[in-house]
Amino acid sequence: MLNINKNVDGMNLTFKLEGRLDTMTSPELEETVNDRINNVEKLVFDLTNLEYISSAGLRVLLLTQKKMNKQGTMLLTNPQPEVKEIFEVTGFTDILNIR
Amino acid sequence: MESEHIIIQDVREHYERLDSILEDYIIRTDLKGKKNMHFSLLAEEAVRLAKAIINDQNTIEIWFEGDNRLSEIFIKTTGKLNDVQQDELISMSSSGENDIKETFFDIIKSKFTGERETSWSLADYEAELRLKKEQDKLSIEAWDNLERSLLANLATDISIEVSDKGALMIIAKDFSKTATTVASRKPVMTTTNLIFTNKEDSIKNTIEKADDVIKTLDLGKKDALHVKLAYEESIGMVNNLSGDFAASIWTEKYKDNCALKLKIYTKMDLNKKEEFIATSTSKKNAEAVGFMAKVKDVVETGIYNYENIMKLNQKYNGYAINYGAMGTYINPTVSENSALATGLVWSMMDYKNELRGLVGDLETEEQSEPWDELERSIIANIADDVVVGVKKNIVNMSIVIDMKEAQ
Repeated sequence: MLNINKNVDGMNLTFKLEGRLDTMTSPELEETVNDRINNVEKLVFDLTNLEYISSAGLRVLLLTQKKMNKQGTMLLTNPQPEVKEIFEVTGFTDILNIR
Repeated sequence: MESEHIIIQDVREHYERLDSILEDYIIRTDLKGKKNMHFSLLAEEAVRLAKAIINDQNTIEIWFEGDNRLSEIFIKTTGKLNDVQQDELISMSSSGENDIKETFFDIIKSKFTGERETSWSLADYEAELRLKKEQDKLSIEAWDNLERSLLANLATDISIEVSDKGALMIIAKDFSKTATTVASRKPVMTTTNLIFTNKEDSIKNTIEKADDVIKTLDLGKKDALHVKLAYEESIGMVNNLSGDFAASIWTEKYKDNCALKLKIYTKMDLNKKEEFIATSTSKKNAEAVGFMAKVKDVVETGIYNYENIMKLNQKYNGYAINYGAMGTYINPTVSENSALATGLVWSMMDYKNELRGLVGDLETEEQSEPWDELERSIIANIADDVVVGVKKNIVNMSIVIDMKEAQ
């Protein structure tokens, strides 16, 4: 189960993710992101309430970062320690902007 | 406990059902918080990786076994895999080898057919990914190993058995404090590895060299003394082992603790092993005296006497896990039933907790002896936990010592 809340402020877009980003929910996030990021200059994923992320979710973030590099910036904020650990063990802390 | 089994072909199609079986297992084994998250993630990544290697046409059977302390994910596939699939799967194994138990006839057969050439290499695969990352660090292809990387980082042990009949993948997760301390974090520093045998000169030299090794850890006086005592007790235990052993010992320093690691190897052939089984059986009633003698008992019984492992489990509250690699030559019927091919993990913390639970019920002096013995033991007093794992002819021991002085 993943809840995706969107907040648009001009060219800035924030996705607040809540729940699990896994094999089942990642395609939904990918579709939502692809539908919304045209012309966005600053994209933020607020991970405060994200409880779980698997490789399927990591791939969506990777693809999005690749797209955003061409048009602006992407930031991941407030990951829980368990989610942060996954970013660390996979080496994603080196390629994504996480605060 | 053992969960319901599920057979799946398409991961996404069956994901909800798989998730519900996993959730039921997690509730029943009381895996909470981080344990829940790690085990769920291991299950998801293992299934994704297995399906990616085996391909979408074949079905896989999945189930979970274990408890709050140690849980395992089983993934079984039937039908012959091609050479590339076999090599890709085997590369996931903690041992780096096919963990299938060979029968006498398998060994004879391999003498005639020889070793098959490797069709897929993990080193080449990783080199290819490194190259892709250099070209484009955000390319999806460069991160093809995400499932593999998560499994390797979060699992305690991965056993892969591949045969003409199919494959069995067993992913073990040990949730003990020791395992999480020493298996899922990178040490701040690792000392020189001292290699020795259980011959008197070698033991003496190693104890002397340990002083210089401990100095490199740059610990406070009391902490250094604790590590020194752990070296002496561990080396002393190897000295008391029957048979020919080689061992290596080193220390990994973490932020708040140190883990002394001891690896013991034996290269016994079948005849020698049988000889030891007989010896071990003849003295099976002899009680191990002292706490380190108990650890020694776990080590020796694990290596020498497959049949006694279950008895030992009951005796010392160890945990039997399906590492699927022990007793290869001892009991050929084992190869027909991987659930019988049991390895052993023993933890001082569990042993202590079990004894603590019994203490009020121990009425006689004889009954309370194990607890008194534990209280008297140097290791039990300085170590946060001691974990002994036995797999094939290798014993891994970790002694975790909390640092009391500021670093």
